Amino acid sequence: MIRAVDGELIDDRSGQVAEPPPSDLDALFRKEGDGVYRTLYAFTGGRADVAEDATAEAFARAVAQRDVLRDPLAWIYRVAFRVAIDELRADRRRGVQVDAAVPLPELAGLTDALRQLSPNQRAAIVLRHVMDLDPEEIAHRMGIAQPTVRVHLHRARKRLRELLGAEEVD
Amino acid sequence: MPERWERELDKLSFVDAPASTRARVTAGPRGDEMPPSPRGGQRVAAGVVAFVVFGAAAALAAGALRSPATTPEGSPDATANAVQSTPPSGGPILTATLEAPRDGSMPELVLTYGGRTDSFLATDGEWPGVQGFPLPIQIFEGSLDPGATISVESDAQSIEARLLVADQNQRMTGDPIPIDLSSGTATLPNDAGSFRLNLIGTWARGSAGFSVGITIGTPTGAAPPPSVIKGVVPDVIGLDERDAIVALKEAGFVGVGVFAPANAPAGVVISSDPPAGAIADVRTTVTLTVSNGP
Repeated sequence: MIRAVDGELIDDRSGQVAEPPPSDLDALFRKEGDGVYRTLYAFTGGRADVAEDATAEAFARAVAQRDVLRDPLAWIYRVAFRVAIDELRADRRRGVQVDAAVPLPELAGLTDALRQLSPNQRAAIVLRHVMDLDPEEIAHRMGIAQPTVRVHLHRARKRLRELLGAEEVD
Repeated sequence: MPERWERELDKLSFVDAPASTRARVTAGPRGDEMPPSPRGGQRVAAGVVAFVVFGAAAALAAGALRSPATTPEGSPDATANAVQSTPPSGGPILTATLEAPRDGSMPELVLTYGGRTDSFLATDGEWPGVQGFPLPIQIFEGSLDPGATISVESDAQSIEARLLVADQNQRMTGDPIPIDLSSGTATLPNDAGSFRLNLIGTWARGSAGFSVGITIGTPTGAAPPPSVIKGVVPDVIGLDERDAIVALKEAGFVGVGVFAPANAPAGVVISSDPPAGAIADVRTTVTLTVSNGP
């Protein structure tokens, strides 16, 4: 909660030496676009169409508002989540089945497992394990409290262990 | 070595945005019914309300107000914009950091600012490796006037407060001063300057979130009446029940699901009472109607 206030309205964090995001949003897209898409792909449970749309829309809105954004990347993530939620809701209203999504064949098992998680659990686990972000940054990008991120991560790991296996592999 | 599920998850590393994404970015935003303002959803709105409280606190510190923080009315976005565009003149600058140790020890919320009023919410849940959670330690820092009063209200089973007062070198090396909160209000020692207030609350395991409201009054005014903390009910329709309850917790509410047949996937929230956008006292129970399938 505080992070959202901190990052969006005031952004007066001190003592943190974070890598400054590229000021040029085109460069930001080249650097981070795949990561945003990847996260949204998981968040939507393999809905490639929604993930692409949410990613493009979030970056496009960021371009339109670039002069007022202090932390474009975190903002883009939150907008992308929002757009995806809205689109999935609209699909539900129209009666589109989530199963209509055709995942990449090699991802079928993973996608099935991810769909057993809640959307926030999916997003958190991908940001942590695929994007290698720490919980603080995950909270920032998802616009939720850090303790909540830890809860999502804990539950997501537990569920994925049950679904995909806990044994160690090379 | 990674576990199998981690290896499976790694496959996502090879998922890249399709080439068409870039062209759609260049084409610009859709400009449809979606709001163009930077908002991270209703969860951010909860933070916005908190900021309004901070803003009132800043005004209080600047001497503009002699009453406790008022509750914002109207839409959270509009209120936030108003606060953002008209910061209290001469008021302190808010710096807030949220820190959670990564070694599995207790979560810690650290607020550092020169204001005098704060309210904050967090959620409980399963914390691997943490015994006795929820047992959050809240630390509040600021500067105080001699003889200022402090009042604390919370839904904790027990809460204790200790005060550390900075010396001339701004170091807090002295022994913590316990504050008797049994009466809900205490008068701080006659030491002006920076202080750190540690609040240690104990909440029942499984309780639906926690809340603490702190009001630090000026020494000239009477002890302020306890402020009622209000929040905006987030829009949780369409979320899974569990996510909806977590979202409500973040906003300070207690979500309770009731099942009803509906033309929606099972487990999805189809309505809430009070509805999204309503302003209600925190800890209000929000009844969620959850679909048990068509």
